[in-house]
Amino acid sequence: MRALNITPPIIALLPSLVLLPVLSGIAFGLHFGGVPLILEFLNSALNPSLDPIVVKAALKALEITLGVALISWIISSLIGLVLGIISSNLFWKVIGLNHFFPIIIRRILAVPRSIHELIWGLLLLQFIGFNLLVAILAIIIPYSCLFARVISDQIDVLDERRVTAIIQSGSGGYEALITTIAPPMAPIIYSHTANRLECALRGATLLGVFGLGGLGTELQLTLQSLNFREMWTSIWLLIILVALIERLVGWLKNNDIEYIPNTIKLLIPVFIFTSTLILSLYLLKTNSSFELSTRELDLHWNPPNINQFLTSLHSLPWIKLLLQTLCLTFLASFIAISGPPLGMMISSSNISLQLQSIFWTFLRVIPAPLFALLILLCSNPSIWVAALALGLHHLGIMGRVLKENLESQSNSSLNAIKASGASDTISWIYEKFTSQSTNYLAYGAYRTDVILRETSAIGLVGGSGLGWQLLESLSSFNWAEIIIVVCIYFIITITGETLTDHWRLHCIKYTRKEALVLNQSI
Amino acid sequence: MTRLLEIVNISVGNKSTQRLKDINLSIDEGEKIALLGRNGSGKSTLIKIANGSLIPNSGKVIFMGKDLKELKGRQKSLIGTIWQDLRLIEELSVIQNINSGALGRRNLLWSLLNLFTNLEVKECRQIIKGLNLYEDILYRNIKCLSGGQRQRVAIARFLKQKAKLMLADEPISSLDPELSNYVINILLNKEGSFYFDVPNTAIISLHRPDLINKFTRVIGLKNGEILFDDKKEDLDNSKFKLLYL
Repeated sequence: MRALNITPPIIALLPSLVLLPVLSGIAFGLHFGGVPLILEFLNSALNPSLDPIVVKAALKALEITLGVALISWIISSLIGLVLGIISSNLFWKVIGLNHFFPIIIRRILAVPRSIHELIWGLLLLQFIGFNLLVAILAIIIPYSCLFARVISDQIDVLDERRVTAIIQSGSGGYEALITTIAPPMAPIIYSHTANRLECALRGATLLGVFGLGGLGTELQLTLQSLNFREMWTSIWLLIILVALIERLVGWLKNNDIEYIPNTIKLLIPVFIFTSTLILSLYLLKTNSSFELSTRELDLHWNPPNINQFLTSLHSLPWIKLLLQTLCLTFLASFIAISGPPLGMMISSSNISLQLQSIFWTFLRVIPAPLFALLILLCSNPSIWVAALALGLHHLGIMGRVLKENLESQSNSSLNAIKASGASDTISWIYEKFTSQSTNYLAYGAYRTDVILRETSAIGLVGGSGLGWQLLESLSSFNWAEIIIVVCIYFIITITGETLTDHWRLHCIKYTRKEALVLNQSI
Repeated sequence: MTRLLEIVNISVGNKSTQRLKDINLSIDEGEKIALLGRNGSGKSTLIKIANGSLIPNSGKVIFMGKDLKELKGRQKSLIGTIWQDLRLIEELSVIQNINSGALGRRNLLWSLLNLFTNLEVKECRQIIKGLNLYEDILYRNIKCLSGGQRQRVAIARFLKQKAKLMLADEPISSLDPELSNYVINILLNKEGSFYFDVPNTAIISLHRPDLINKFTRVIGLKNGEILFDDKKEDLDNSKFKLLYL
């Protein structure tokens, strides 16, 4: 007899225990001087500034953020699609070339993918200087590689016998590939591309926090000047924009386009691409000093020599920094994964779910460093603050994923436990959450990868980890240290990805393999 | 005899697709009722109405003198259902599924512990044994079981509920004739099982008229209406012919 029989819903709920040390850690560093400020911040949520000048400035900033998000989203999707096809095994098999090519391409793409957009932003900033192009490129580079991975994984789970059958009927390789890949891939590409739009918006806002313009900068400045009413004007605008995007994406996903003729179906992506590009360029041109060229290219690049590398390796406590980063990642991941099911378990009524959904949107749109700064109003900097801020931001994303999964779940078999007299909470756990928990955990594993990368954005606030070290090294242009930090990030991200891939496969071994890939799109 | 369940003027569906039409039934404690009818006759709908998982368009259901809508968890757990589609929780093991039958009588902590460890093993083992299943099945995942094994796990979950009234929707559909006989005997408490308690009132929907001798009362449903509602002794073949015509 086995004493323990731990199930996925409990694995998803148990990490909530991490809140105990995190909140205790914050409580130990609490200073009550900031409590009135926190109350003022909360009060301002219901009383944002409606001053026309403030609203106009916030709208202008929103247009810049939207412009950056749209252009980087559409270009990264296009590049990602091409890279995805050429990094798939099936593509190289069909054209009859060496099967090492896809492996090599994938390995190369893993490097830019493993580096967070913020690090790309900070690195590019050194080369290009202050320009929105930095923000755009910083999003395009990792997003293209991430999209490429999803596309190639999806192509490789397709049944290659279908391609072989077409080729044996006398068709050319490329024709066979297009005929067999395009129909099953089209809805996947649509769905994934649509989901990436909100990610691009979050990325653009985060980069703004680090001074690259748009709403992120606006949020940062209003927070620094403690002008919470103005801050909330921007937050509400961002929440409305995200809600509109969510609606639009939901509408596009749920609407059956089967009845549309094929020629028009083919024109839809062309239309979306062109119109998005025009709209984003218009938004950027009218609202900022956006330049596509980098005329003021100013390189602060002094390639480090071997001695500098050795000195850096010896002078810094790398093991400690690495452990702090991993600790931060796990704490934040546990908060993010366990938060939504815990909230829904406590109250799963329709009204409560609506309120929780608004709260999650709020958590999603506020970049994690701003959360950290808000908590710092009444607590001292520590790893706990960084973990809570990072965890809360990603809790918003996990909440959305869980809500969408639960909504798409069939209700036909949901009454057995409830009909046996169990309470609403117990019925929710057993009948709704249990069937979703495996996929939810699989997605949580992927989110842990993202959190690991994002520790670079929060490290400074926590005063710990590789993120903090990276920003310190960047500010002193110590390229030897910068390169070492980026390399360590690359190694731990790739290791983390490999481990979480195994975990995801373990989680979904009874479900379809495609779920593994699709989950990565949000 | 005590009146256990009353179904009063129940109608389900709209005019064009009426699944049940003005049904009235009274069920006393101790009755063993066979519910017969062709596919789509309304048997499953009637069972869902009786356990409260389907809200009728009109009429009401009274259980032990109380409107079904007003029943709280513990009282509601006195009505147990063996569902046609079984409704087992695929992600959990057999023992966790069996224990989920008791959720109406347990608190939140017990419910969470059941997702963490194996509770009440002895009782679950006895039930499984009584249903002709091997003990080691308790720790297996539901997904690894055959259709017949799953059906018996669903019955085990029902037995764990310790209900007063049994509602069973084709509980032997996946079993071979010999096992069907055995399981029906258990459900109707004819085996005199010493492994577990079986409620002495049952409404069981079937596609097996040959088994009606085991029941005390037979109800025939056709097109959402009661065609006949007779004691076993008063039945004759002509009624069956009408039912399956």
